[in-house]
Amino acid sequence: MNRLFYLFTLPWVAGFAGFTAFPLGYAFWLSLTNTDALAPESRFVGAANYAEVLDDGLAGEALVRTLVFTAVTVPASVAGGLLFAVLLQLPVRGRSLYRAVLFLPAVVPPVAGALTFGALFDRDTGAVNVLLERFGVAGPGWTDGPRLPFVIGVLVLWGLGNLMMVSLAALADVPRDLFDAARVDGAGPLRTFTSVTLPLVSPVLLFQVVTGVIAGLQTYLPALVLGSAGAGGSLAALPEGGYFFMAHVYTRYAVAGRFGYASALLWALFVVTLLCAALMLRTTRRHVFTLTSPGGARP
Amino acid sequence: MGLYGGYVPGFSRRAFLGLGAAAVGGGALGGCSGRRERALTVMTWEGEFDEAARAAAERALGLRVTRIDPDLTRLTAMITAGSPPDVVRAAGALDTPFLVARKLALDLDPYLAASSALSADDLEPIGDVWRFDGVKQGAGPRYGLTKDYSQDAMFWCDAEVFAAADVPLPDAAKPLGHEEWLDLARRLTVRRGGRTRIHGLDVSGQGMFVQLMGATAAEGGSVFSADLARVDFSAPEATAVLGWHLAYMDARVGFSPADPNPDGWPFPAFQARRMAMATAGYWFGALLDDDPALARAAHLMPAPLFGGPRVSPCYSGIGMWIPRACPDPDAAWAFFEWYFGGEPARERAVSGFGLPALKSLRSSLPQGEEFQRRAVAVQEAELPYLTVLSFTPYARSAELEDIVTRVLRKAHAEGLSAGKTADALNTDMNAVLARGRDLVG
Repeated sequence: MNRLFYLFTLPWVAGFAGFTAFPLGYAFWLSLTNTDALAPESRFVGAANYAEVLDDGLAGEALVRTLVFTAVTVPASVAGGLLFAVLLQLPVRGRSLYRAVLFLPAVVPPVAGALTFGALFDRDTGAVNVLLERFGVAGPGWTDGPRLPFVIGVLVLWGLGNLMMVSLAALADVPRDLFDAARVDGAGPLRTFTSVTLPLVSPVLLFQVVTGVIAGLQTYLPALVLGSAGAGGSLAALPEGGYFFMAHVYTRYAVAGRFGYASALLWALFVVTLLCAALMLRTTRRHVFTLTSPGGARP
Repeated sequence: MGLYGGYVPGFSRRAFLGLGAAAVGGGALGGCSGRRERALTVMTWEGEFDEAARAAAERALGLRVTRIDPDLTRLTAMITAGSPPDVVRAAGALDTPFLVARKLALDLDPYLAASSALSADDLEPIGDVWRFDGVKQGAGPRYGLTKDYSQDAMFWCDAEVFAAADVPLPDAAKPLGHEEWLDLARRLTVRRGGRTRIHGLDVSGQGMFVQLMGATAAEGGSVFSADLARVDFSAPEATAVLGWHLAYMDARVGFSPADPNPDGWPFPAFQARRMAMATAGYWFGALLDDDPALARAAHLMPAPLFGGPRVSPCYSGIGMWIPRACPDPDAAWAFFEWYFGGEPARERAVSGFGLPALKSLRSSLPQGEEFQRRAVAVQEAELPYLTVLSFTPYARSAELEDIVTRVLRKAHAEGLSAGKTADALNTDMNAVLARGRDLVG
């Protein structure tokens, strides 16, 4: 049996070693040097790159922007997904159709979605500003300035169908007799939701929040497509509103060619991500419902 | 010497990065070394060396020829692994000093002197963008060749847009002054609500840093110090140019860091008849072939004047260089002779996508249509003002462009003066240049 375990896990372990552990270690080693694209020499610089990260005003602004964006979009996405899931449990006609329609945006490739939004929100030729003009409103530049996070936020919320599906699965797992018991005890719909539904789906919600925060901290693609492809793919033209932390990493890497410093930025983000995940798991421990068997052990 | 900030004995860049390059399959990237048959790797875009050209190169040279896309990371890994491409695409005007400072490019003078297919006397002055003597671009050894070029501060006008605005077309025989140019742009811009229907002028198409660099030269100054190790936007000429560009951004007459072009380059808006004047060189005309109405209305104009001498620089000078580490430079040079002096060079000249880099091909430019004859006449008159501007060896142009974009955007948003904008540019760029100088010694 042991052999079978090792046999089946070996490909993953080898892949982890080759494609995760080694690149991570190598990136850490790079982060301790001043490695630069096409430079004749590299030098060990110790923690100098990390000291520069702390002193890098652009990195700080980008990190704050990323954290705020994540703090807004992740709870909104998770709450929106849960809301749709709860609504889809109501006995309405065409429920399956609604479920499919709400889920559909989640299967649109992210680049296609971002390009579509880019066309819709273009300042001069986009449908949004054309519509606003009909009502006598001068439409702003949505994707070329500080409003870009708003457009990206809408784009992210547009694709909350996958979170809705996960919440639907979680809701389906809640025992029906608990609802009946709550009703017998005189609980209304709101009380039933807050005292029965929410606690029972809380592990799934926590999972959504943790994975959402990890993805949010790495947000880059929509900003690149909406804000930079919009300017011919030039990273230098990425608007301030779309300059998230990963965009800073990428510009340091691809524009400045500072492989060592960009690696330090990546490691800094890795640590921030780990801290955020640990903080969420720690602070939600008392609020997330976990099933236990009568003896106290997990079933 | 301590570990912190010191060189580690025996710790070469090659040994260090070789580990990573090997790990990501760098040895299998198909560069020069380790070949069993004579083969050539060309790092360039497919649009400039397509499959038919690759097959033609194989027939002409009797070598196996492989094309790979330009990619900084890949190029770094290949050079580190000791297997660089044999020839690499670059912009001579911007990249030559950088490549020379990092001791990457091969001196081509001996090859050119011995060549029967290419002659130094036949090279147009633009070829000098590939020369660098350590402190001046345009002098010293030659490290690459230009495939074609344009004088990129020139601009194109759409006569129909001018007519619709009841604005007379400028005289192509007489360069506009910069204030007159901006005034024209204001008169030609049409805005409704928050949307711009017609852009009066675009100066951002080639990038804002080179635009500032060229305009400062036309003002009689230079953004770089004499040793190319610093920028000084606080000099009167550069500050005046910054002031003009801030006024251009404030006037919102065209694309800029504050109003980025959603297409990334000016032609789509020009083609859609939504742009009255687009800064672009002769090459732009080749795009007009498929649109007779637009071609009839398109007029090439000389580079505008600022406050100094009449200059008309080239901001790119696309061509190729041969890495010093290439073990078979003779094969790479044979490719150069074919690509820059053979049939591909003639085909490029006839297409009109830029001016040929050989004097002997200048007469091959297309002149079948009226707009083509018009453009060639203006271009011929502009050629004497071609100027090679020196670019710094201590930074990649993309990094300086990144800073200009960010600082100009902030200056526009916060209404900063030209002086304060100059200070911000100096601070950020000189930090980058100092780091670059530290890297190459």
